[in-house]
Amino acid sequence: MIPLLLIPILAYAQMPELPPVELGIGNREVVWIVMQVHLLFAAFILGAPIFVVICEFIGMRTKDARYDRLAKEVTKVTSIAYSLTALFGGFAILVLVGLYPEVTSYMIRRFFPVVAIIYPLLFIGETVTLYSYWYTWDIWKEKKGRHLAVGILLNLFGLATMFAINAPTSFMNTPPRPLATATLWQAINNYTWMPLNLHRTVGNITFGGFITGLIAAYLYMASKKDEDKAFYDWMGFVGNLIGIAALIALPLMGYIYALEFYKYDASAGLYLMSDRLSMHWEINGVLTGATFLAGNFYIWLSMKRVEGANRFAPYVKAGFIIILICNAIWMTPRHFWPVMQVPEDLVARLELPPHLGFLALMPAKNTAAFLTVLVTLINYLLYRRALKTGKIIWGRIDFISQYVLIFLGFTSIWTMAFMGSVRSFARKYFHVYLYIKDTTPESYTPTLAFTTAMATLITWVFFILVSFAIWLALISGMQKKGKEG
Amino acid sequence: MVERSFWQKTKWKLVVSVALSLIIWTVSGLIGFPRLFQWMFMGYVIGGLLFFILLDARPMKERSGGAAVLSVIIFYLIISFVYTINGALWPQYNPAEEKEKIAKLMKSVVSPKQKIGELEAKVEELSKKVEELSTRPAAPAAAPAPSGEAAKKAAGKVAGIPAKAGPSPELIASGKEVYDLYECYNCHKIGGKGGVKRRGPELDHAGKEFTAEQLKTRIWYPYAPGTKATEGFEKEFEEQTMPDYYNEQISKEEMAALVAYVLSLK
Repeated sequence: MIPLLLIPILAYAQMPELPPVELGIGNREVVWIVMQVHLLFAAFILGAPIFVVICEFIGMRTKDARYDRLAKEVTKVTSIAYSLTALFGGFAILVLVGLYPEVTSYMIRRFFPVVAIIYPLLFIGETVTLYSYWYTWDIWKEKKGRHLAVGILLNLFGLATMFAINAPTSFMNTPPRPLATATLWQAINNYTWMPLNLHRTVGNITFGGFITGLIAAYLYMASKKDEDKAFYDWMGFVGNLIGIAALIALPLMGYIYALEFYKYDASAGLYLMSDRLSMHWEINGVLTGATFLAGNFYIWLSMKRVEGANRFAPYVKAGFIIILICNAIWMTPRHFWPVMQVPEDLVARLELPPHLGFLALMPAKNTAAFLTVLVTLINYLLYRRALKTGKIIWGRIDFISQYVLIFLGFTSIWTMAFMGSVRSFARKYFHVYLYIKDTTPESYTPTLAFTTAMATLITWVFFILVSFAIWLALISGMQKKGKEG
Repeated sequence: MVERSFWQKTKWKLVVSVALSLIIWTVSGLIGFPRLFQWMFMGYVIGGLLFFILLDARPMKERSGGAAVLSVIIFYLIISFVYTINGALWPQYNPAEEKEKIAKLMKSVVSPKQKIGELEAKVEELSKKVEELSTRPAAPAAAPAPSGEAAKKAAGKVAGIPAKAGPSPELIASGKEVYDLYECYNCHKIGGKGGVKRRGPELDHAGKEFTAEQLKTRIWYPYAPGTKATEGFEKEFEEQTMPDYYNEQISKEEMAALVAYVLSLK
């Protein structure tokens, strides 16, 4: 009977051994770039339709044609971005199978019904609804309700697709324990699945808003006519408004997400927030602070062109001081040291003394985040109040505002590229946390300097492709019209 | 009322910033912020000053065509440079240290090829045993169970710690390495060093409070029936903050060393 045991071993031994492909430029880096670019496109094609349907709905209710034009132009760019998303998705699978065959094969088998049946079906559903939505725009001009229903369906497909693919992603960070007896649903509904869904949904709306602002800035710069300038000025304002509105909820979503890491495994939470990844949160602080400052600066610039709004300037300036102080609190680390324990001889120089340690804890950070959000809300209320008494002339905004919109677009992309890698690093030297160890030479956490350089590279790749999509969809058409006109 | 010029406003902002810097530097020094933190606050003041200058700057001249494209590219390059350099300015750790640590932790990982080899060896060993058993005469009666000193010695051996002589300094030193390797300091401070928040009991006197067996159970199976929360950490115990997977991660040898180290803390 014992020799029977050898049969599977011999059968396995007969299989030709094919090691993972070694590209020589770092397998992790290649997967990092391809996956992240795919994710950025995915975020855009999921975030933009939410934004677009809201705009179309407002347009339908208010009979303001500008909303419809805005929605249509963003959808045009989205349909090109959609093809690029699919392209990078296919590329990502090929790269994963070639460079990390074992873990990819495990993940596909573990989530087979999700990745082989549900996800493709949802993707097909999303494709059909997206192109239906785009191609019926003019046909159903008089049947807006019907067109809007297709848009809502598109969003439902988009959200469901994201939820489906978030399952394996979050599973790698927080797999159910014990894994051997976990059902498929337990693997899907793991500790961080729903927090990741929420975080990405809100993040994608922010992203969609800021990318719309970016598109508006490009088109404002390319506009020759005053009416076009007025429209794209307004479009930039709406993009920023929706981006900032969603951004307000983002710190809370991030907090819930991080809390689940602690609940799942306190040591994972600590690694993420206080140990080797602690300095990454300093960069996050810089980015979040810069985004809130820039968003509020844009409101300031918008207010400047409203007649009589000057009376609110001192309040807005006081708000900026609060945002700066809050950002300083947000960014105050427990120590200037890249890991948890500071060498004894450096503690006095690099670490907050115990009586000031509270500044590095979540209650202090949460208070700072809350105040920043509050100031942003108040600024918008002041803007609305200014509009009640003063008149606004669209297209007359300080030109620097277009760079603010570009900055917000760039920063949101860079933040996503950067924080995506932080989520990945939280797995430490595991592919699936605690269960599947990463035995490749690149299982260590890269340095912060390297990660920021990678985030910049990824942002450039994405930016070039998105700029191309905007040019193809909108600017070239505008130039053609200009020549004809 | 006459509107002040940009330069007048900037001069005033400079004066305020200098005054603010002096106040922040003095106060932060008095309440105990280390020098590096004080410099960071100065950085905020400078950043704030630049931002407030920008708020009141003159409107920017409009650009179009090639000039606009060029300005956007330059702008991207500037942001990219600032973000990338920002990452390099913060403290960096040496990945070589983590690689070394991972190599230690990977000792228990076996490749499929190794696994096949192990299985083949096991099959061979089992075949030999079957052969032996089929040819060997009846087994002798079982030896009597050890008692007294012998039992204590045996128990000590199970835990990896000689019962009488006490753990060797080498074993204690390896235990400290295990403590560092699994980053126990994140929650369990020793000598005041470790995580800033009180997440788990401090271990400074753990050697007096626990036996080897108790420590082993608390690390491998922290929520085993009969295990109670340490006083003051009832909430953490209820929330199961202490990871319950160390029985799959910390080997017997590592545990023996870790227990020896913690027991040495008195």
